[in-house]
Amino acid sequence: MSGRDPLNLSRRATYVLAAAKAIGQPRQRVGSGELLAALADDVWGPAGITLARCGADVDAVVAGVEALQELGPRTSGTVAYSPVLGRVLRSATGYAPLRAPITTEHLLLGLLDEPDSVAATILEVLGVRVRTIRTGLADVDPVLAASDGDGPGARVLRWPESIELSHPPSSVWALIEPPEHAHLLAEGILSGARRQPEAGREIHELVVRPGGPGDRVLLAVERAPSGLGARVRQIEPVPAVPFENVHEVTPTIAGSLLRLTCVVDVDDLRPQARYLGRRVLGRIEAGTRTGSRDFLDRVAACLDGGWAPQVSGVGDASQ
Amino acid sequence: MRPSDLTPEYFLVCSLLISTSIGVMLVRPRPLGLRGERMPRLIGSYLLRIAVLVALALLARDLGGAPVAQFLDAAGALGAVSWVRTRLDPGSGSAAPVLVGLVAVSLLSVSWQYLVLRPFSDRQIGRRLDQVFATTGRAEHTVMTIGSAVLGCLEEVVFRALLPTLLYTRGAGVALAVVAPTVVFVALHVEQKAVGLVNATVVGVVLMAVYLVTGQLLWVIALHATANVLALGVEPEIRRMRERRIVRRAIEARGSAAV
Repeated sequence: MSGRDPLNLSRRATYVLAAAKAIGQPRQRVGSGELLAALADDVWGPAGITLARCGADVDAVVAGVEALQELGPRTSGTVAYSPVLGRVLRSATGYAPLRAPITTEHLLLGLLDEPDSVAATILEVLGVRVRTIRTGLADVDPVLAASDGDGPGARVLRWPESIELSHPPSSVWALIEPPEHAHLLAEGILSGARRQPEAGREIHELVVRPGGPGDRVLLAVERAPSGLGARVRQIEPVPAVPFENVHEVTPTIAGSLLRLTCVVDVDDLRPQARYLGRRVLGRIEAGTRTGSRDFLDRVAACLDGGWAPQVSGVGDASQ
Repeated sequence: MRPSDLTPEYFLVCSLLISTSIGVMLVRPRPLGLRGERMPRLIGSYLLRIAVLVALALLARDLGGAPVAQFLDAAGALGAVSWVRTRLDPGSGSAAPVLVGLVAVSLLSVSWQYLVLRPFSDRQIGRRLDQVFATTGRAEHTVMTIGSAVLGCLEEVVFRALLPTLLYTRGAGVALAVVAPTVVFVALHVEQKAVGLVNATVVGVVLMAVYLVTGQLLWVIALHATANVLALGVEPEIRRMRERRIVRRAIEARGSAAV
């Protein structure tokens, strides 16, 4: 031990642990399975991205956790933490650099050190190899990993095949129609815009920062494919995306998580498209999490009220 | 035992056992040990225990042969031992059922906990989920299984044959020579808590009895090794298989529901 607080957690890690506690609330027990589910559910964090890439589907993980939760004794009173979770946290502390907070990556690495845990059993059933996850974590961009502790407001995301907007311009909310339903996503997250590789300079990173009240600034870091000559350029404000370009909106509710998946022709995400100089077909996934019954009720009311997306043909991505 | 019987050899044996217990407590894997430090500690604790048992066996090597036979002969004076030995005699006409009974009791002693505690029931699997054990993972389980099997063999040599013979040849009565090593054997399993202590008591008493009535050390060695392999190698694997099956069914059920 380094003498520092063993629970010096990053914001995201704190959030993930809170989510694990929420998942374990029904049985009042939090263990490695609940932590794995929370990490997999953190779809925009490095650990969540790695798990998703390796095939650890969050719904399958939750199903496995719930099945094993049923076997355990029901405790009363406060939520009990499993002994393995304590060992995972200690391992995660060991992985974190000196005086650095424990991130979700460290939590996942700590989790992988416990091959007899519930989490390991679930991963084994899902066919996810520990080595693959370790390799996947090593492949996660260090900039993305560094964003783990930033929390809302400023994140730098870099991805080989997609650009993620953690807090996209407000106009993107126009994806939801009618406009008064846009608040459904207002506390959510959105990512997408898969882009094709090209020979010239390309956007390598997309930085979203608060630009003032109600406004956000998009900064693009572009560089040559060789990785040299990076420069930062501010992207113009994004105009509203016409709703007719949304091809599919699929709301799913799994537990306390609401997901709204929109497939759009990102040709209309004009800044990126213009910047890249060609059409891009992308997939935007917008999701929001809530533990509040009220929020789910609002969603249900919108769906019951006839809210449905218009559907049109999917554009051709090849250019 | 008279004070004059407390030879330097006796003190050496006692100090070896005590120092081993302290050493093992210091070296053994800690419940919250990190992955990198568990394996070295595990191997270290087993090597330490095996080394001490080998040292004990070397110390008592002069007891082989005649002294052990003398001890076994003297043990025949115990009523129960004498009764079973008489019936095991081929000429007694009841050798077969007694032998079958002996085998059954031996097997029950190493398997009673699986029949009584039912470790593969849903309830027990649920209770053991995410608990901290001394080892995690197949590599550590393998080391522990092999180490405990070797240790079990040595324990039988030391606690069933050498220590009782040592005590008997130093003037202790047969009853003390039988009971004292069994008590030490049980005490060495104190780290396994209540169930482990009960299990060690049952196994220790039964194996000592089997050894006394048959005089076959190989039999009790095989039983002890089997018990250790079952507890540390087979049982965790079966439990993991059950866990995997439960998870697989849940995921398949979710998939079916989604369709």
